[in-house]
Amino acid sequence: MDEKVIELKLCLDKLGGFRMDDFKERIALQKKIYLMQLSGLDLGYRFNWYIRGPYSPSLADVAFDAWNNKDLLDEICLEYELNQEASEHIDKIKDLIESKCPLEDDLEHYKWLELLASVHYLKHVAYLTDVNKENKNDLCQKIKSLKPFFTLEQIEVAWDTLNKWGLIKNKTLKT
Amino acid sequence: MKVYKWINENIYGSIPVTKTEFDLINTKAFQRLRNIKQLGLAHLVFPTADHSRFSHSLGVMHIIGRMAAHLRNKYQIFNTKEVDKLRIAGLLHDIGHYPLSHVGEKVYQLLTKKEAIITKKRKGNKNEENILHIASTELKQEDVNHEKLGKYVILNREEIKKILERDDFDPNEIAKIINGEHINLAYDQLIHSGLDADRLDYLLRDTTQTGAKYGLVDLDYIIRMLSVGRDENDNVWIGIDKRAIHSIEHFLLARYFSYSQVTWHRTIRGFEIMATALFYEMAKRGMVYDSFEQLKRIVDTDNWINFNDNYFYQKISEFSNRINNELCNILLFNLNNRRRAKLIYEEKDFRNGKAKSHSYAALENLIYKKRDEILKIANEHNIPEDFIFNQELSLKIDKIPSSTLLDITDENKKETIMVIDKGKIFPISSLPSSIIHPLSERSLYCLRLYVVDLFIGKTLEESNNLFDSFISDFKRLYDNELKFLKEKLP
Repeated sequence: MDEKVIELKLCLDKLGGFRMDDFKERIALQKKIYLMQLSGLDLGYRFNWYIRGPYSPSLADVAFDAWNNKDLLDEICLEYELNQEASEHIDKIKDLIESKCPLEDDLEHYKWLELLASVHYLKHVAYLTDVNKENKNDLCQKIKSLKPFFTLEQIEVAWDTLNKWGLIKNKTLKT
Repeated sequence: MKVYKWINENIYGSIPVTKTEFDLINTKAFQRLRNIKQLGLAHLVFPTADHSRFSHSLGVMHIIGRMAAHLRNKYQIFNTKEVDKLRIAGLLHDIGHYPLSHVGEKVYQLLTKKEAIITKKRKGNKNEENILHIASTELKQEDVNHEKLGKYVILNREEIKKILERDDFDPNEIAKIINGEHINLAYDQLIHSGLDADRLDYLLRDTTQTGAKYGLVDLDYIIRMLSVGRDENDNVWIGIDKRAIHSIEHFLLARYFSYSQVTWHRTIRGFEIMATALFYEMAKRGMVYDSFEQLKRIVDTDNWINFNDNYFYQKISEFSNRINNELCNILLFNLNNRRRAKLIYEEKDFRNGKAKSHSYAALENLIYKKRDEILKIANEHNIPEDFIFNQELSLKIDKIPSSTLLDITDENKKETIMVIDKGKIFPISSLPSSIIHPLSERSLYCLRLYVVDLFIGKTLEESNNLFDSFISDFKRLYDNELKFLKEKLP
């Protein structure tokens, strides 16, 4: 059992548990790890742009393997623990990952995670030429065109939430 | 495209290139790829597998160009400038590759891996410091993968940047396409998907060069039958026309066999782990570039051009004069003399999720839970503990099981190939009429236990005889475990 599988399981346990039963849980898993890595705890996954936002094929591979070996993994994980520094990194960003969309008609949690991760990715990683990435209105309009299933208000709230966390100005929490 | 030159080669006959491409090919950074073998150490088993990242890169450029031109002509989803852009991304997609391809890449992933983020509650497992154990660890340290290094080359190597900017290509955009960070999903599907130009070229090329004929897919038909569909949000999906579904089934099975028979070959894998261990050890001792940061600093110098397979062989030759470590000494001897790591035991399991066979679970238990019992037998045969290492691999025919694709909005469908029927899209594994449907529910798992051949000075036959008694003792241990499992979980 490789360390990468154990690492993933222990990080997800700290973020509320490792579940992959349906597509909502799989989307949430991808976005949780994307956001968690912004804390400076880098598991080494890099994300491509995809319809539902940042997505890592490697993370999907490891997660499916882990899920298929869950019994053995649960047993082996009893022998391991996250070290203190890693735990502290997760603690720094846990509130963002567990946050809910502050609007009254709030989004399901996996969709909120998708939106947070997408806004961050488009602001800091993706190749966009026709948009001023520094301008909230421009970027939110662009996201609306890429993700028509979100309202502009929801997108702007996600931007504001990331901004409060310092993740609009900076790419990661550590900088 | 305006053809400037033709390049003759053995897979496609001849490849047309534009002036921009020709100039890029003639840069020192691209010529460097001539000295990086596509399949690392596979030539130690398949003697003619000596093709390079250079020829593969030309092939990917050619295929992506043909795919994009077909989609432009028939569906108008690209314009001519975009086709040119995609060809350049194909040409440069491996520009940052490492010596011995994925062997070197793995070394820099190991070196970059930050301090461990997990710790074992009870210490005392020496195995975790063993360089062979470290070398056989699967990592996902993608911040230093060859695409990331390639991005650095494209953005910082003046000779490349100048040509791209001269001909109105944005180096940053090319690098983002290669790294899957472009928001145009159609670009991404041609370069990073279940049916991308990279896979099509390496299947055909590896097949031709190794002589293992698993990967002879029908390239012309596949390209001709590429089609376009749209999902409920009007996103463009590139897939295959339903009439050509069997060509894709063949492609997926060909890839599966090619991986299981060539890429995963037990002897090649054994040599690769030995080479990774040596490369890693040299880096730890500062005898080779010892960090990704150091590589970034040499990208725009001539040292970068020499960072190829020859770099590795030159360095291990220097290493052999200074070495004072028994394991490294033996690994060097074995690599130089093609003395392969011996396979103590191997189990394969083509299974659906968690339902492991008894025979696989028995080996897994011994390796992960009862390793001390294996090491006890090794000690009885005077085999040092750190000469034993294991490897676990998993391989899927289609990356994602059909049962996970029931909801069309599932993002994991990125991993599968789309079948297009009258403009509608269906993941191939979701179609009950396709052979991929049942097969996609299963993965091939492979667990191997190796021991380094440590008998320098003995003939191969003498060495084999010495190991036979160790292996038969191991077999008794394994049979007992298997019997125990069958009784416990009939």
